[in-house]
Order: sequence, then C-alpha cells, then structure tokens
Amino acid sequence: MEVLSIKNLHKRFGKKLQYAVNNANLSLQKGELLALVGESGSGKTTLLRLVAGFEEADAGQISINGDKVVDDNFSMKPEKRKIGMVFQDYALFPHLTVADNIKFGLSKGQFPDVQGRIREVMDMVGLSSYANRFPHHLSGGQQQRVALARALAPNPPLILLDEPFSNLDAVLKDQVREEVRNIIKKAGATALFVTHDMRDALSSADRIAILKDGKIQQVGTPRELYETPKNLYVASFFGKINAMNATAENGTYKLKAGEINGAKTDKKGQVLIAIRPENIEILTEPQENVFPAKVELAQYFGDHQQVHADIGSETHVVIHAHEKILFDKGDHIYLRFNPNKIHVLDTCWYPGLVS
Amino acid sequence: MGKLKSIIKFKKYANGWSFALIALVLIIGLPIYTLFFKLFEETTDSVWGHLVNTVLTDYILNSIGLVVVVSILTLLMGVSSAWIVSTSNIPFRRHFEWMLILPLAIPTYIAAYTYAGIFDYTGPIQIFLRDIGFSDLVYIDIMNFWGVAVVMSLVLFPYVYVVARSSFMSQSATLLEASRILGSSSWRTFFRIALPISRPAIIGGLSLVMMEVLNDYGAVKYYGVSTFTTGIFRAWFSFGDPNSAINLSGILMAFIFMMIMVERLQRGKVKFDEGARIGRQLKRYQLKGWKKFFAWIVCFIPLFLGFITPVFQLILWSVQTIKKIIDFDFLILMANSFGLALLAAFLCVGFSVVILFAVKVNRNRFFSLLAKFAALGYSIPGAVIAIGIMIPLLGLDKILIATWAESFNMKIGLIFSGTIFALTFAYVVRFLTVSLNPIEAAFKKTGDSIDEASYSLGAGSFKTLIKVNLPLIRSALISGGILVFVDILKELPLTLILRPFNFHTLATKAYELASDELIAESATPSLIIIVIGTIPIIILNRLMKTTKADGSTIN
Repeated sequence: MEVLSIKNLHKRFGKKLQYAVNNANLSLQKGELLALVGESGSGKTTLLRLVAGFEEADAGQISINGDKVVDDNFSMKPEKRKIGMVFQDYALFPHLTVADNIKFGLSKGQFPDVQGRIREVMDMVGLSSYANRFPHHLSGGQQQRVALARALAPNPPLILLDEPFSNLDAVLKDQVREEVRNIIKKAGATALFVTHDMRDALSSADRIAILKDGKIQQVGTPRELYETPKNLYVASFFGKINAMNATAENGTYKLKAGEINGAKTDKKGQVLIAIRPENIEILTEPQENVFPAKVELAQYFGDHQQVHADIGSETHVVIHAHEKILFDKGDHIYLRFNPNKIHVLDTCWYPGLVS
Repeated sequence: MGKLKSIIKFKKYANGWSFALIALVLIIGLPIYTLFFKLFEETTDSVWGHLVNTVLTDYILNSIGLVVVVSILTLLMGVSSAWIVSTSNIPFRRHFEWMLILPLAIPTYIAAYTYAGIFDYTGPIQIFLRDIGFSDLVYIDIMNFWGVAVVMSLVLFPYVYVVARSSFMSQSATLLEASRILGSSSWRTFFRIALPISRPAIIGGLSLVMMEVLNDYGAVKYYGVSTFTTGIFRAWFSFGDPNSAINLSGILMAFIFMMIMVERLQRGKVKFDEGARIGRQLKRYQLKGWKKFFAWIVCFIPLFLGFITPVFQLILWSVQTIKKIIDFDFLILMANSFGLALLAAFLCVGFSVVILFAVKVNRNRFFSLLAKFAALGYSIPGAVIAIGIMIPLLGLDKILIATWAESFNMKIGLIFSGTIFALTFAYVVRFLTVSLNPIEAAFKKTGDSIDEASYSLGAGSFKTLIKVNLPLIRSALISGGILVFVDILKELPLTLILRPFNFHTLATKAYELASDELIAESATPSLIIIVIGTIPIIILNRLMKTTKADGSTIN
C-alpha cells in the first residue's frame, strides 16, 4: 500500500531562478523507512517541509494514504494532514511534562483511553519512568525518544524526521540510530527522514533517495546505490570511485591507456565508466588483459591498502588492495579491472568529482 | 591567623570603588529610610484617623480596581496584537511591528486630558453627535473610573506588547510547528503552547504596567478618581500632614512589594530553556478574507486610539494656540526641562557606571546585593519618593537655618528642600534603574576576561574602566542616558511635589494648563514631550531588529 506519493513537485523560494525542489517524484510503501540524503542546500529539508505542509509547493501533487494533501491550487494545512514529525531540535514543549507532551496530539475520539495510549507509547520508547519529568531534565538521547514517542502517539500513517541524529554526539549516535529504527519498525510506521550523513541513512533506512540541487538523483536500496549508481554524484556519496571516459563496443571498453575486455554490456559509443577501488586487482606479474602501472602513493589502513597508480595516458586510478604484499612508491604493478563490476554512468557530469 | 585572614579579606575589598558604591547606595536609599522610620514613629494624628474613616477604602478600591482593569485591557490589547504581528501576514505588518510601541511615548496624564478634550461638550465627538441630530442629552461621559482605566490602557499596553512580541519571536519556530503538525489549530497553539511559554515574560511586562498605574497622578486626578497617589498629594498639600502621606505611602509600598513577590513567584523555578534553537523564520499563518481583516483591525485599533487620535488632536490644538504659547517664558520652560533632564541623566549614567564597576572590581555577593538595592527606585511611585526626600531635607534645612541664625545671626533660605537639588536627587533615585539596566547588560556582554587582560598589562582599575570598559559600552551609556532623559521629561507627580516655587517644566506646565481648562493651550508642551518620547522607541526598535538579524541565520 502506498502511504506517500509525491509527483512532479516543484518549489522555488521568492524570485530565485533555481528550484529548491525540482520535479521531485517519490513513493513510500507501508512500513518503509526512506532516507533523503543530500548536502546542505540540496533541497532535502524543503522537500520534507513540503510534505509536512510548512511550505507551499509551486506545482505538483502529494498524497498521503491516497488522500490528496497538495494539488494545484490546494494545500492542506499542516494540522489537518495527520503526519507525525520529529524536529531537528526536538521542539519538545518546555512547559509540559513528558506525558503531557505525548498527550498533546491525542484526541479522545481516536483514543478513548488516552492515558493507556500514553503509557503504551512511553513503554515503546523505554521511558515509562520519566512521565512526570520536564524535557530539560532529560538527556539528548532521551529527548529524542520523547519527540519520537510524541510523533508516533496519534498513530499517524507517516512520520517525518528532520536530521534526527544531528544533535547527538558520535558515541550516542550509533546507539540511537539503531533504537530509532527499531522503534519505528515496531510501531509499524512509515517514515521519511532527512540527513546529510550517509551513515545515518545506511544504518537506519530501507531505501535512500539522494538529492542534489533540488533534484532527486536516484532512489534505491543501499546496495543498488552502491553497485549501480546512476551518476557520479551518487557514486561518490559512498566513498571513492574511479571514473573514466571510454568507448564501448562489443563488450569492450576502450580507454586511452588500453582495453578492458569481457564486459557484459550492449552499450556503444562514448560512455563514462566507473569502477570501485576494490574491484581492481593488483598483480605483480604481467597477464592477459591487464594494465601496466606505477605506484604513486600507497597508504596502509590495516584491513586494506589504498594504492594510487598511474596507468599511463594521464589516467590515474585508486585501488583498495587486500593482498599481504606492501606496495611502495615507484613499484611496477599490473592492474586487472573486473569487467563485470564496471558500471556505466549517466553522463550527467559533476566536474571535480572524479577521484 | 584567623584575625589576619579577615584583615586581608577586608583589605581586599577596601578600595575606592567599594566605598563609592556603599556611599551611593546609602544616599539613594534615603526615601526608604524615611518611610521606614516615620512609619514606626508614634503619632497621635487626627487627620490620619479621619482619612481612615472616610476615604481610605476609596483609595484602596480605586487603586486595586485600576490595576486590575488596566491589566486586563493591556493584556488583551498587547498580547493579541503581538501574536498577530509575530505570526501572521496582515498588511503593513512590518510597520505595525514598531508603530505599536508608539503609544508608550504619550504619558498617561497627557492621554487623559487629550481624551477629556475630545469627549468634552465642545469637543469633536459631541459636536459630531449634535450635527447628526442627537440632542444635547446624549453625552458620553468619560470622566470617571472606567474612562481613566481605558485611557491609561491605551497608552500603557505597549509594555505588554513589547515583551510578548519578543517572547513570541524568540520561541523556537519549531515549537509552534510541532504543535500544528500534532493537529492543533492556531487558537490551540496559541493558548496551549505560545502563551504558557511566554507567560513569565508577559507578566514581567504587565508588572511595569501596574507600576505605572500606581505611579500615575495626573490622569486619575484629572478624571476625579481618588487613588493612593492623589491621597498622598492631598495629605501633603491640602492637609499639610506629612504623617498621613507617609502612612499612605507605606500602604502603597506594601501593596507594590506584594506585587513584586507574586511576580517573582510566578516565574517559578522551572526555566523554559529550549536549548539549541534553530533560527528558522516562522512560517506565518496565511490569513485570508475577513479573518485577515479582523486581525488587521485588532492591531490597528490600539495604534489608532493609543497614538494616532491623541497626537492628531494635539496637533490641531497646537496649531490653534501655538502663537499664544510660544514666548520667552516658554523658552525658559524648555531650558528648565531639558537642563534638568540632562543633568539627572548624566548623574544616573555616571552613578550606574560607578556602582556596576565597583561590583565588577569586588566580585562579592554583598556588593551585588547593594547594587540591586540601588535599582529599587523605579518600583517606588514618584509621589512616595518625593515625600521620602522632602521630609528629611526639610528637617535638615530647619536645623541649618536655626544653627546659622544662632551662630552668625543671619537669616538664610532653604538650601536643600524646595530647590533644584532636591528635584535632581529625587530624579536620580527614581530613574537610576533605567540607566543601570542597559549598562549592566553591556558590562555582562564585555565580560571579565577583558578586565583581567588589562590588569595583567599593568593597568589599574581606574585606567581599565576609562580606557577599556567605557569605550566598549559607549552605546549602552548613550542609550541609558537617553532613556533617563526621556523619562524625566515626562515625569509629573514627583516634579509637582518637589519643584521650587514658580518653577515649571514642560510636564508641569502642560498639566497646569490642562487643569485650568486650557487643554488646547497645553497641546504644544505635550507634543514636545511626545516627540522626544519617540526617540527611545526608535532605539528600541533598532535593538529589536539587530537581535532578529542574529537569530535568523540557518535554513
């Protein structure tokens, strides 16, 4: 069942030329956790606030549980949308106790036993003994859980989380990510959350949408995004990747420095190919289908070595080697590109991102 | 050893600053000592007994009644307009933001006789009513309790407006958003979230309104409503009975003390600290149609009645009478007012610096307590301060005259009482708070490490003050001075009691003219007071703008 549907959503602030949200399309199924990832200014927060109703869209539709909340010339007020939201600063009401904060969104009509529901939600987030505390008596992690409980209490079809982990210190973060995911899953809620930190997304989300310049670049599971990134921007979000211009023909990629054979591809002509550093093998002896190379820099990271190599024709690649041999600057090596791990990117090009 | 320690400890604090602080505070406390000693002096006083039997109940009921009614009205006007201006999209919102503070520039007594003139038999309202065919019998009489309550509220509500607005603005926008996303309407958000969080601040502003009501003499006297203040005047001038004046002051002070305690209590221990705030601008309620119009009206009416109407009327009157009013005497009047206000403003700023720097040099709880004591003046009504200063100074003069006559066989006049000295002294006592506050805030902002840096470079405390601190807090010194200046220019009850014989200021002249049924003639001095009174409002508005600029950075 589709809980959230966003279609062709546009938003521009004032008279700026650039769209803050540019033709966004997104769909969330029941029980799913989707992370919106992007740098600051990418439009991720605006997209979230459009769903919440704190911003008004210029064009496009948003439906929640099949009900239209945003359409041309129509925007439902935030208080009518029945969405839960966890704010970046938690926005706990400072003059109300934990229990009263949670009670705030509960109506007698929906929950005849309001007190029971409060207890239930507080149990769910593990804060049963804090009912009569005020927010400022709680730690950051506890405040976060109260905010989550308050958002979940009215049992909304959708909950939104705005940078939920950004106010926590590093040690707490790992623990809280896990907890938040578990609580949302246990509640059976569908959630959309915004973060600038890929690790937040990887550890908590089922699917990830990557935003750049107001555009959703790609939506997919972490594995899809890692293995088949659509463009260099998405690819570079997960660490290093080697991108090179090539000509494709009959399963062969022709580079300036040589050829890579045996790829299962029907692509033809000028392409941008990408390969992850761990998908390049380092050999010490020449073989077929290898590129002779010279080590420019080798860094030891314990579980792997990061080797920067020159394969000639002004082409440089990065390799993550797991061999026991330690390489050093100036070593002559041979590189084998795994043809099945080569991925063709959209030529949508972000200069300066080739690593 | 113990003795040595305490000597060292004493020596540590024995410096020029601490002596200056103690001396200043001792002198400034004079009216309080008077009140205290005189209250417990045994008197067999028939006037007081008479007052108790006849008018005391009136005084109490009227004073409390005025405080209650004006509080309710100023709350309604101040909070509603602040909420609308802070959270909605009404037309001219940015202009309303600062213009709603303007009524504060009109002293209550000027508003009172201006409205009295507007509703007078020969005033525009009655003329209009007769023109459209109502008989002379339809007469709107505002010269009573309700009239003065409404008129005072119209010019005092900005005290509530200013604090409510800044509190609404400083609340994290996400709190209000959180309330909305949890399904609350704008009304529920207001009553359940915004108002409770702002309550301490709003009550703080309201307590200023109450002080002003209790301080007022001109308005209530003009409308014939007897309060403690008019009672003190009557006891002093009509009965010539200082003891009754003291007794009334004592009751009034007990009343004010109770108010302060209640205000402290309501603040409570719970501090609504919201921690890290996101400075995002609040998404305003997009009002449409009649709702938008109604919201606009809620903001416009207080501004229209509290400022535009009285000022417009005063301008009309002033144009009619200005030729008659402006003469050599009027220039002397202006010089009196400005000179006196300037003198007292300088003293207030200077004393504030000495007191606050003394606390800074001698970091010690006793000294900060003394500084707090020096700031009590603003909560004591002007009439009470005047009586509290007049009585001991009169006594002192009597002794001086007697000794002088005895030893030199010469007759001298009054030296302290009934002179500019007494008046200036009283102004400093009453308005020191006004300059202490901004200067204290500025000192806090510069911090202590800058002093320590100066000392470590070999500068003494005096040099540190002159070369380091004062340049840094210059703008606070100026704004503190301006605030005192304006307050003194407006001041009426204290000046009426303490002014030398035949000595007039703009305020006393305006009031005297109005009392002599020459309301139109009083318009020019009144307008001058109002125009100068808008200066601190412009300063205040600029301050509010800078804090807003700081708070709205992140998206």
